[in-house]
Amino acid sequence: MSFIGDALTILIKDLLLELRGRESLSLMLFLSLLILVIFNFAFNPDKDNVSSMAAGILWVIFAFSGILGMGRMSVAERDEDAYLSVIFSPVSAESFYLGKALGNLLFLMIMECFTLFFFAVLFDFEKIIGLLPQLLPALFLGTLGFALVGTLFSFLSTASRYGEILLPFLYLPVVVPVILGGVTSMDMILNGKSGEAGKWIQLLVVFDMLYLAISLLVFRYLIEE
Amino acid sequence: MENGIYLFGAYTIAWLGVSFYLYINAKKQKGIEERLTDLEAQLKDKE
Amino acid sequence: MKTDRTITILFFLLLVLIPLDFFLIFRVAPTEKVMGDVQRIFYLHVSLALGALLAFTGVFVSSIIFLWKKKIVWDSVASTCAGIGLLFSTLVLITGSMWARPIWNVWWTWDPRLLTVLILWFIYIGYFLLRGGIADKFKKAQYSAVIGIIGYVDIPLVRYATKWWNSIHPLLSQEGGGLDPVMKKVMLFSLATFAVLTIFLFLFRFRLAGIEERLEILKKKMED
Repeated sequence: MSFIGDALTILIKDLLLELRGRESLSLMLFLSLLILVIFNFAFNPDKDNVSSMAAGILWVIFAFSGILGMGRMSVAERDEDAYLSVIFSPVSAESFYLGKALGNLLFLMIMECFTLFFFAVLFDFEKIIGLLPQLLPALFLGTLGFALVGTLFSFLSTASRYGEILLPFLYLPVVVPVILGGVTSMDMILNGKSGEAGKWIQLLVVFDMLYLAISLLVFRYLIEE
Repeated sequence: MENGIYLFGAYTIAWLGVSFYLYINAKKQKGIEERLTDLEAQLKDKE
Repeated sequence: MKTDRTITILFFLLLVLIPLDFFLIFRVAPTEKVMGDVQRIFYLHVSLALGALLAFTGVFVSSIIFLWKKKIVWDSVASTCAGIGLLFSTLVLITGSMWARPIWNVWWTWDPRLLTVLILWFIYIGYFLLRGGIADKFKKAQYSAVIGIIGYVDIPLVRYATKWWNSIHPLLSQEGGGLDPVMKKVMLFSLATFAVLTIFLFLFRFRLAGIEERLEILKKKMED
């Protein structure tokens, strides 16, 4: 089997598990909705200031919902050492990582689209739906970086006896550049400065490639016994 | 000297920090060395 | 033992270097015209930052060597370096704050340099959090080596991203222009002193790791 083929097999395995009731996606969506409601109380935004706060609110939600989802994803692998079966199968550690990262990316993107939609409804901010074609590249690249680092760190944190609780402490500081890029580019697009967002999108591409390269280099040390 | 408190504060905190680091590690080392000699003596008795 | 002798030599060297450094900073270096005497914090602050950088570079290099050679001693080197780096970066943040208060009139500013050190600090706190949570020695070493590598590679990315971000939110921080030649020499001396101090602290702490190892071996012998 090929490198990409193996990764896709892992991805399909995770999708099947999700469909059979692991329910990490529904938990993520539920958390997003909850945080949205709390932000509504906290900031009480109106039509004038909502666009200046939107990117910040959305990325905070993406970050915490995403951490919840990615944590669960690797807990599922650590439970009863399920990932060990991968070590003894012909699937390489790198394919395994890639498949996991793709799964996380997919779940994160679904969660983000869901959050965007409910943000538009609850905060009366239809503009964001109209801007979606422009938002998507920045959102995708930011999420890609987020998933690439997150997959690696969720495996790191679940190795300790604290489990996934440790994930945000280890992961958030490292992923700061991606969050900065994601928030800033989204903020620029939402506030009519799409031109300036271009260079942040380029920066995100560079970050994503760097994170992918280094994750592929070190991931095998995390599942090797 | 204006703002002298910040200047001396910074130097004091920095050197206190380094000294504290040395102190706790020296203390730890002493404790471990004592236990080492204890264990070595016990091991000899056993033999 | 050889390390013991090096530690003693470095100790006496520091006994000369540190008072001399103080003398140079407070007596020889001229007072800065705009900032006044507070500017003298700078010699300490920058030197501490150098020490932290040295230590974190040590973590990075020894983490790579560990993953390559799989010898547990390289993990001791890495964690010793990480501890010193954490100590120094904490002091960098504190001294920076004490400099910012009189000069910029704030305790904290979201300056890219400060922000990078803060993020770095978080990363290495995480390093020790993870170590505290893994009992198996080899696993602990393996996993913390991964953080040691990623955390270090992340530094330039954080630096770059915050710099760009900061250019949108202009702040009051600005580095002073060229340094006066005497100041420069004092700074260099201070940097050298702290480099020696870093090596001294490293050897001092690293010796402890060696003794801990011996204790564990003895304990095992006792149980048998």
